[in-house]
Amino acid sequence: MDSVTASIELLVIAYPLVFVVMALFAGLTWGLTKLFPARE
Amino acid sequence: MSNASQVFQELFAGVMGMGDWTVWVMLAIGALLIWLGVRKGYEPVLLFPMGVGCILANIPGHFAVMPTGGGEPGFLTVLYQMGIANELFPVLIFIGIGAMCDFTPLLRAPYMMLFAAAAHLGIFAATLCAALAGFPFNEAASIGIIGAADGPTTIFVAQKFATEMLAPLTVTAFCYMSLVPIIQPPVVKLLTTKEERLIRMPYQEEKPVSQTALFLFPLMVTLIAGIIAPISVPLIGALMFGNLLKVSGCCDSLSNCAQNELTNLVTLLLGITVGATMTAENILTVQVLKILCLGAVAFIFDTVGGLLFAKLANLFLKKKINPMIGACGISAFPISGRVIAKMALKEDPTNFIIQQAIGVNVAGQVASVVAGGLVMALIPVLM
Repeated sequence: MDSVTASIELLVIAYPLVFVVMALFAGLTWGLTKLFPARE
Repeated sequence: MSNASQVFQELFAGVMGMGDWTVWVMLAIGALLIWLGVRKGYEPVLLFPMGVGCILANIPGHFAVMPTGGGEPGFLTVLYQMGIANELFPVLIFIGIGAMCDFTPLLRAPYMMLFAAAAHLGIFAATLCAALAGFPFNEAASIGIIGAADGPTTIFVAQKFATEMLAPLTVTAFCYMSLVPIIQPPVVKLLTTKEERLIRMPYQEEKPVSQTALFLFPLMVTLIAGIIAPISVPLIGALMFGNLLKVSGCCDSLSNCAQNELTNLVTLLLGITVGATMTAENILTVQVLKILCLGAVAFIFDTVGGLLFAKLANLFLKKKINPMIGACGISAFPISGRVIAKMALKEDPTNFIIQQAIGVNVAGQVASVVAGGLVMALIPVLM
């Protein structure tokens, strides 16, 4: 596979995947704070 | 007679070596790095040792690195083998960074993680531009990682996939990180209207976060990132181990050691060792000029990605957000958050968005390791 094609594939696969992973972290973090709320 | 000539050459090997113009150029580059660090304040803790390493490695005879006449490797080669060839130094630095990180703003507003994801567009834009510039894929992706705005991640990836480019990539990454106040503001101004820059974001009262959530967060991130991209475990594991030391509350001495002694010592050794890889054959090439340009592309597209995502989010949000905070989703912490908060204050001296800007900037720390891990996992697959 040539370098340009591989770079485009990296962009198409990895960039959305970063969003998916960070969205997963965001959801789980929100869950964590709901599951273990701070005592006022 | 030949014996006398040999003695003469050995005695004045240094003086004879100074006849090579590349030695003078490399010594000047070393001096420039020291000047940038000491006089201009650009990442002095790294650029200063790098400049010294560069000078030591380029003094003819190369006794600090590998004596040209043969013999035992110099101390800088020993350090390279010990800490960079096996990626130990970047990982140790991550323990220190983790111990310095406070993820509380992120736990208060987890949605900020999405801005950080968007602000890593530069990695992929720079990789594509590098490929178009003729770099093979492994080198193009290693150049792209400059867009993570994270020095240790750049070193880690370069060492794995483009060893011979380690020095120029490291110098470029750290130089551009210190140039964030110069690179980001014009891009932000170009892509936002004055009205957008004036958008106020309500100051949220310090919402308390439980100790349990703070403790479980790094464990959760390590497990999930490690399962998705096992190759990222050394980086994310070290980062979160450092953070666990801090939030555990029972290892203050270890946390303080990681934040101060460990970070300072490893930064010192890392700087001088990376500097010592800056030899004429590694640096005085057209490729290095290309890398410098591509580094700028990476940082510009990071800013563009974050800003455009925030503008896109505003299309759907009732309560508009200041799109400038999207630009802080990079790992250059806390410089990017401060720059953006300062820009908002410049537009309106009563508009304080520092809280949100720093939150997105902290998320950028996590996103940079996630993006780095995913790129590392995909390079061998796509090559």
